[in-house]
Amino acid sequence: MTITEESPETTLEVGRARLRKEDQRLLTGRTRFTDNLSVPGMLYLGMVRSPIAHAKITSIDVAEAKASPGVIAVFTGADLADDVGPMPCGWPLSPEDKVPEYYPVAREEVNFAGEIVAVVVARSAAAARDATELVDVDYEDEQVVLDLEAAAAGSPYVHPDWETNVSTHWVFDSAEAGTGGDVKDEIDKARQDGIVLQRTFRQQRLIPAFMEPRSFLVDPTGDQIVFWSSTQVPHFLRLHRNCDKYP
Amino acid sequence: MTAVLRNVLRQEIDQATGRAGGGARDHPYGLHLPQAGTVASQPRILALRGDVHPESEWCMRISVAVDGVTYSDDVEPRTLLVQYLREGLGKVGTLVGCDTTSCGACTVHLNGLSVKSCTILAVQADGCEVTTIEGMANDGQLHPVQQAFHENHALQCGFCTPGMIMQAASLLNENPDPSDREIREGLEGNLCRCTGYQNIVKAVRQAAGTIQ
Repeated sequence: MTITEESPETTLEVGRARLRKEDQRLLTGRTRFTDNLSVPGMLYLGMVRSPIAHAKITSIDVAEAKASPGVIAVFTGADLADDVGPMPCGWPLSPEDKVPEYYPVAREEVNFAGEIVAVVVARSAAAARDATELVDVDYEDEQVVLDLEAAAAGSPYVHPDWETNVSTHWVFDSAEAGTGGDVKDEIDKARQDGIVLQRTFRQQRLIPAFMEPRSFLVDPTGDQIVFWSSTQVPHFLRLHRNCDKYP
Repeated sequence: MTAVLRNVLRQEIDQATGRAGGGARDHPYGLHLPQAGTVASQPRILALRGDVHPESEWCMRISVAVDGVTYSDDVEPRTLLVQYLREGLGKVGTLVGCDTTSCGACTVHLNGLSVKSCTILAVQADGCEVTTIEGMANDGQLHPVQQAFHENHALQCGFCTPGMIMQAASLLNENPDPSDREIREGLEGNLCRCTGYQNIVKAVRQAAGTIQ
């Protein structure tokens, strides 16, 4: 990451510290971060999200949102069912992975708090956000599981058909990976030497979250679709475009 | 876009804006910005929602000098200063990172003091002078803090940079010769996620020397 050593003094071209060539725009506030861009006729998307972790969606009333000023359209999962398929898993770990059928906008059921249940398209970001508050969603609560260990141990299941909450099993063992000895052997050896230390370590969920908020701009008006995103994973993004049934 | 095409476009923009003669160098896209000390002509309606009538009770007339140019606009009372700067005036150099006063990317100077512009309403800036990152360079010359950031590799992705520079400049106004500890404390409200703090402190130290 950041190198803090002083560069050695040298007159050679190789090994000499270089100044960055991309700084000028970044230093003066003239960079094209995604939210800084605009295209003709640009519209904004607002998301309606579930406040409930697990529930059946019994009804969604979008009439008031649709009538809200500046709103072009409101879509629920059911509205998009004919056009949008499930999102692919960008990083499968093994063929045995259990990958839920996950739609960009939930259809009949929400499986986590924050899942998108409707989207509003409007002429300004504020109008879109205002209208999301007018979408009326009725939920029928289902059982939730809030603890990772409890989830791994058994029901209630987030996806009942699977009869498990374990999506994948990823073993980090140097023997299995071929990079060293068996972890269990080492632990047994340590026990024989009289060292027994047991702790439970909880690691926060890993979310690579850069400073620039997640943002996307799509221009579908030409013969090709142009897609700007605040990520650095163009190939993943292309993969996710496959959930459009009419690419 | 090829360099040739870019140059043609620049020339066209320069001619259209009466700015022929290579002046576009200051602004890589040939943008023609109002000169400091001028007054933007007509008050405009800057409602976040299209349906809000400027003369309705929802809008308030504000007058704000931003980077040396005075603007008079009708804004909704709920408009945040950063929304006014970005969406109203097109000054997108000031960035929104978190929307919750945590990250400092939106830091600007309000009457010379640093504020997080996502936490100030535009109407609170009525009658005030605002300086953004876009007003820091003078006649194509970078501000000493900007120059020091460049020379010390104090930025990578650059998203924290506008806020970091505004906060650093404010810090140096208040304390022209800060210790490393004082620099770190002065910048504690600004987050960088490319892990650049070490070089940022180095840059602020160098800028302190340059300004003195």
